Amino acid sequence: MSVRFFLLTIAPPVAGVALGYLLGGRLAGFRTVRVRALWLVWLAAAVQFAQYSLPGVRRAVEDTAGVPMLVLVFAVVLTWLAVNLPGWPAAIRLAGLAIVLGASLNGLAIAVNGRMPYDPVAAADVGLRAGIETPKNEPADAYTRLGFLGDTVPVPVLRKVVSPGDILISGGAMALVVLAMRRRPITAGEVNLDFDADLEARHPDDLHAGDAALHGGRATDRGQLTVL
Amino acid sequence: MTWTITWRRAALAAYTLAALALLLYTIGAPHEQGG
Repeated sequence: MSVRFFLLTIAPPVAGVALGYLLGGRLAGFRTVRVRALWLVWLAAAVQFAQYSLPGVRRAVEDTAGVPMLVLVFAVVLTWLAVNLPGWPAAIRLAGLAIVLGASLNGLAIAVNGRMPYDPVAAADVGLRAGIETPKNEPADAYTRLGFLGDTVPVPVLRKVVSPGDILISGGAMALVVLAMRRRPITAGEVNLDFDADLEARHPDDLHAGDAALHGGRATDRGQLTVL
Repeated sequence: MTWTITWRRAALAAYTLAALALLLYTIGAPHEQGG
């Protein structure tokens, strides 16, 4: 993994934290967002790592499962998102959906071409050698399908060419952090523990010590006002 | 007590952010450019 790719990976969360603070958010906001089954993300990352670092494991798994390991990685990630998205607040869910959409667009471009196509002109613009092929990338040509979903957007500061899917993923991740930070966790001091006031507010005319509806059924509760 | 809570919150936030970075690595790694 190159330093630039590392930057591309950690830059969105870090930029999100900085922007979150600038907009008055706090890291404590993360406590309001329930994250489930995080082990699936670790599993997906482990499979991804194995795919590129342990060719023997990759061949064995692909021979056994009969599908590319990349499909397994995406299946695990999408499962994790499917588990979590329904429980997240609407705005954060939208940010999560942007990540899903971005990953899907990238996956689609890779699926129809075998590798991620990149725009040779854009690559030359950021100082990359034109025409270079890697196990994951190939220069776009006349036979490339859905070329506009490939790496077509030059980012000179990183000397990278990114795809529309990458922009959705990075933007979604940054927005997710900012939105989570701007959520205010409920503190004990903000919870209204004044039950009598609450009851009076709800039942202004019905609050009588002798009202059967406000009594508990147990013998120890008889004669006492019970909060239901 | 307060410091313990603060560190726990910081650790939770760091863990969540690390998971997000890991997620980006996982779905971004397929087309890392070699150049």
